[in-house]
Amino acid sequence: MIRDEEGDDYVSTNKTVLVIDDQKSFREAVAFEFEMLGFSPIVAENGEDGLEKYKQNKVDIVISDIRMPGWDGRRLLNEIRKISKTSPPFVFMTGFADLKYYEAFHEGADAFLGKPINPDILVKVVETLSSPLGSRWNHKPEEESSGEIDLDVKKSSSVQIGRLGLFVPSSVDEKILDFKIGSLINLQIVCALDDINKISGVGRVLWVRPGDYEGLEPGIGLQFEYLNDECLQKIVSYIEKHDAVETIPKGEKA
Amino acid sequence: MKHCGLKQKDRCLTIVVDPSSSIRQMLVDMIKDLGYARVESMASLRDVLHYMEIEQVGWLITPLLIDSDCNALQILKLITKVSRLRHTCVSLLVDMKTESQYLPFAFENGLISFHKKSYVKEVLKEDFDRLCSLMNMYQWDATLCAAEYLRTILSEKHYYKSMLALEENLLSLYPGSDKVLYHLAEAEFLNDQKDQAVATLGQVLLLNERMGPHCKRLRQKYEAENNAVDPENLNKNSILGVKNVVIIDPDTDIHYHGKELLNAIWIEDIEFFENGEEAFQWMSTTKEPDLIIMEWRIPAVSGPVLVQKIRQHGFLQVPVIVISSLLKPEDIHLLREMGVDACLDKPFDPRGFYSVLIWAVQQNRCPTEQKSLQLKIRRLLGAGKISEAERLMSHLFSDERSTKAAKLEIEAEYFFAKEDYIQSRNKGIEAINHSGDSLLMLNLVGKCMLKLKQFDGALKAFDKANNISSLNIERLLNIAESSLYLEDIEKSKDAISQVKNIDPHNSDMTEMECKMNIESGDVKSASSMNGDLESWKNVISYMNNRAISLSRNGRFEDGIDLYKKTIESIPDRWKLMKSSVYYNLGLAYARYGELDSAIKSLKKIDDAASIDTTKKSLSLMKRIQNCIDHGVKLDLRDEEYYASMIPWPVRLPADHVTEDENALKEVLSKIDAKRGDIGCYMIFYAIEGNYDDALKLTENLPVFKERSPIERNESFPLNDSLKKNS
Repeated sequence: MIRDEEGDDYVSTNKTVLVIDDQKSFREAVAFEFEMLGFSPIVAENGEDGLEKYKQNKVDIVISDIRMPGWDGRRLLNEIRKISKTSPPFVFMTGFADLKYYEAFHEGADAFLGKPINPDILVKVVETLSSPLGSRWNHKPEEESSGEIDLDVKKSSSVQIGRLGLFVPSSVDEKILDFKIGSLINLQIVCALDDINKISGVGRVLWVRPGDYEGLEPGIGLQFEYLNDECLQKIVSYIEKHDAVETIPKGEKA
Repeated sequence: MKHCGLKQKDRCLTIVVDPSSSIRQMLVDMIKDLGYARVESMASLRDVLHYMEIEQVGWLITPLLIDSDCNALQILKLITKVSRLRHTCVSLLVDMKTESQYLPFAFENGLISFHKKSYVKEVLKEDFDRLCSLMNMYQWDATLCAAEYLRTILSEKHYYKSMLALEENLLSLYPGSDKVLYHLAEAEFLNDQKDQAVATLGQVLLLNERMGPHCKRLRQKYEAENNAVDPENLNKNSILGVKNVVIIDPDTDIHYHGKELLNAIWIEDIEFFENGEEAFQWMSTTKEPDLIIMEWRIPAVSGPVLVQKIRQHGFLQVPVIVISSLLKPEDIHLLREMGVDACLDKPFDPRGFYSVLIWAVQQNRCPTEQKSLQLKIRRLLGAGKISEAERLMSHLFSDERSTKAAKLEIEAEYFFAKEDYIQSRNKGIEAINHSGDSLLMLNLVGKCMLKLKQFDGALKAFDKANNISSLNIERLLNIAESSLYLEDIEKSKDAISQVKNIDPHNSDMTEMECKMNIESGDVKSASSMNGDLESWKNVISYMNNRAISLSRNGRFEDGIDLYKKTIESIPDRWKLMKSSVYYNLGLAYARYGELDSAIKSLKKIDDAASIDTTKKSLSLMKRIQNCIDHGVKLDLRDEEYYASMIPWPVRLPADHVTEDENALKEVLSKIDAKRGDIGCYMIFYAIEGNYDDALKLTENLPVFKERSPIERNESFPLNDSLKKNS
C-alpha cells in the first residue's frame, strides 16, 4: 500500500477488498478504512450477496461480520474456501468471540478484528496477511513473551500445524490452559512432523479450549509470530506441501 | 509483575550473607545446587551495600542481622528508595522464635520470601526448592510469590484484616485472576464475611471451572454446616450483586451476545441502546443502574463525553465498563480518571467478559463503605457544603478500616475546598506517598500549586499525571494555563488542541484559547471568541494579572505590550472593560516614565466608562500633566499601580518554595516505582502488629552512592578482597 504523505491523494494499490456486514454504518466505516490503505472496496450486506460479489470480482482480501441474517459469516467462509482453498485472506470482524474461534480457524479464517475497526491494528493485519510466509515469520517480535512451551512430543503427532500456526494439546502440559489469549509464548517443541524435528520460535495464543468439546481434547491454538532459521524453511515447505484449509487446526484426534 | 531476575539462573548474581564462613559456604553450595551459576558470599550487609553500588545484584539471601551496624530491614528500605536497586530480590533467613515479628514490616518493604534458619543444608535446600517451584508456578512473578509467603505469616499471627487488605490490593493488580480471587474468598471467610466469600467463590468458578474442587474444599473448611452447596444453588444475582444492566453499543451483535452472557448468570433486566443520546435520556429518567457496559465510539454523544455526563448527573456508584477495539492498555488510566471502572478489548470471549465484570463489581463494593463515603464527601465539598462534609469525614476517620491513603486524600480535598492550598498540597503529596490515587492527587497538587502561583511545580505535577494518563480536559487546560504563565506558547497551544480533539465545544477551552491568542498576539482570533460577558471578564482578569505581574517583575515593555494586545482583542461592545484596561495601560506607562503615552492612553477612556474609572483617570491625568508641565517626577501611590479586577496572587516566602519543590520532587520520583515492581511494596501495609522496633531500626538509612565499575578500588575477584576486610 502506498500512501501519499503530502496531499490527500492516496495512490491506489489495484487491490480489492470485499466487505460484508448487515449494518450499513459498519460497512461504510470499514470500506473507508480500506480505502485509506489504497484498496477499492466492494460491499455486500449479507452472505449470499457476498458470495455472488466474490465470484464476480477479483478479490484480494475478504472482511466479514459473523452474525448476519441469512447466511452467517461462517457459512460464507466455507463457501469461499470451497472455491479458493488458501487465499485470499479472510478476516472476521466482530465484537464477540466465542468458543467457535477454533472452528473458524480450522475452516480457514486468517484473522479476527474487533468492531469498530481499529485503524492501527488494521494496517498491521493487512501488512502481515500480504507478506509471504518466509518473511512474515522472520523477525523476532519486540513484545516480551509471557510464557513458554518447552516440550518433547516426538512420540506422537499430537501437535498439529496449519497454514498460520499450530495446535498444542494440554495433555502435554496442563499449564498452557492458563495462557491468556493474545499473549506471546516462546516455543521449543521437539516433534516429528515430516522432516520438522523442532519448532523453535514465538507464537501468539489465538484460542484456548479448556475442556472437552464435541469430542475434541482441551488445548490451545497459536499463530506463528517468529520462527528461527533452522525450522522456518522446513515449516514453510510443510505448509505449502499440505495445502490445507486450516489456518490453525482445531485438534481433531488423528 | 514482570519476570523477576531469579528466572535466569545463569545470569542472576546471588549474594548470600552470614557472619560465619562455614555457613556462608553451605549457603553457596546450596544455591549452586539449585542451578544458580553466579554466587558470591559476604560477611556483612555493609559489604553487600558497597558491592551493590557497583554491580547489579539479582538475589540477596541474608539473615536479619538486627544487631549489626547495617541490618536487612535497612537494605529492604533502601531498595524501595533507590531506583537502581529495584530489581534486587531479597530472601530472609529468620529465627522464627525471636524474629518473626519483623516479617510483616519486611514484606511491606518488598521482601520476597523468608526461610527458617537452619544449619542443615538438606533442610534449607528443600525450603528453597519450594521457593523455586512457587516461582515457576507463578511464572516468576515476584509479587505473587511474596504474597504467598506473606499469607502464611499473616495467617499464623491471625492478622486477618491485613490479609483482607492485601488480597483486595492484589486483585486490583491482577484483575481477572481466579487464583487471587480465591485467596480473597479465604480472607473474607477469615473476616467473617461469609456471604461475600461465597459470592467471590462463585466468581472464581465463573472464571475457571477447574477450580471447582478447591472452592468446595474452602467452603467445607469455613462453613459450619457442611453445605457443599453447588454454585447453581446460589441465590440469583448473588454472584455479582447486579440486578439490572444497561448496554450501549451500535453493534447489535454485542446486544445479542451480552444478553446471552448476562442471562447465563441470571441477570435478566437489560436495557439496550445504540447511541449515547438515547441512552442518556433514558437513564436520566430512572434510578442509577447496577452496571453500564458501553462501547467507546458511539453515535450522538461520544463515549468519553457520555461517561462524564453520567457521572455529573449524579450516578457516581454504578460501575462503567467500556468495551472497545480502539483502546490501548495505557488508556485505562484516562478512563479511570473519567469515571470508567474497567475496559475490555474487542473481540472479547466469555471468560474475558466475566473477568472484567467481576473486577468492576469487586472494585465497587467496599466492606467499610469507604469508597461511597469518599464519593459522598467529595460531592459535598464540591457543592460547598463544608459542615456536612465534615460530619461524614468524622465517620471516615473514626472507622479503623479506613486506609491512611483514603483519609489523606479526603483531607487534601477538604483543605482545597477551604482554599487552604498549602495544606491541601501537602496532604496531597503525603497521600501519594501512601499509595493514594496518584492521578487524582497529582491533579489536586497541581491545582494547588496553580493557585499558589507555583507554575513550575504545577506544570511538573500535571506533566507527571499526563505521563501516567494522557488526556483529561481539566488537566490539559491547567497545563495550557501554567504553560502560558511560563511563556511556553507552543506547549499551551498543544494542550489546547488536544482538548479540541476531545471536546471541541468546551467553554473553558474557548476562554483558554482566547487568552493564548491574546498572549501570542493573534488579536483577530482572540476578538472573534464567541464568549459571553462572563467569559470575557475571566479572560480580561487573567490578562490583566499577567500584565501586572510582568510589570511588577521589571518587564515593563512586555507588560505594556500585553495590555495593548488585550485592548485590541476586546470587542468594541465591551466598552467598560476596554476602558478599565486603558486605565491600567495608562498607569503602566506612567510608572515606566512614559508620561505622554500615559496621557494618550487615559484619554482613550470612553465616555461610557464607569464613573469610578472616569474619576480616577481624570485625577491621574491631572497629576501627570502637572508633572510634565513642571518637570517633576510622578509619584504613584502603591494602590494605584494595581487596579486589578481580581485579588492579588498569594505570595510565599522564598524558603517555602524550595521546601515544596523538594517534597514534590520526591513524590514524583516515587511514583516511578510502580506497584508490583518490588514484591508487595505499595501493595501490603502492616496495619496489625507493633513495629516500633522495626521503625527504629530503619530510622537512619545507610548512604548509598552509585558508582561505576571503573571507579572501584578493589581488584578482582571481589570476594577475596572483601573477605580480607571482614
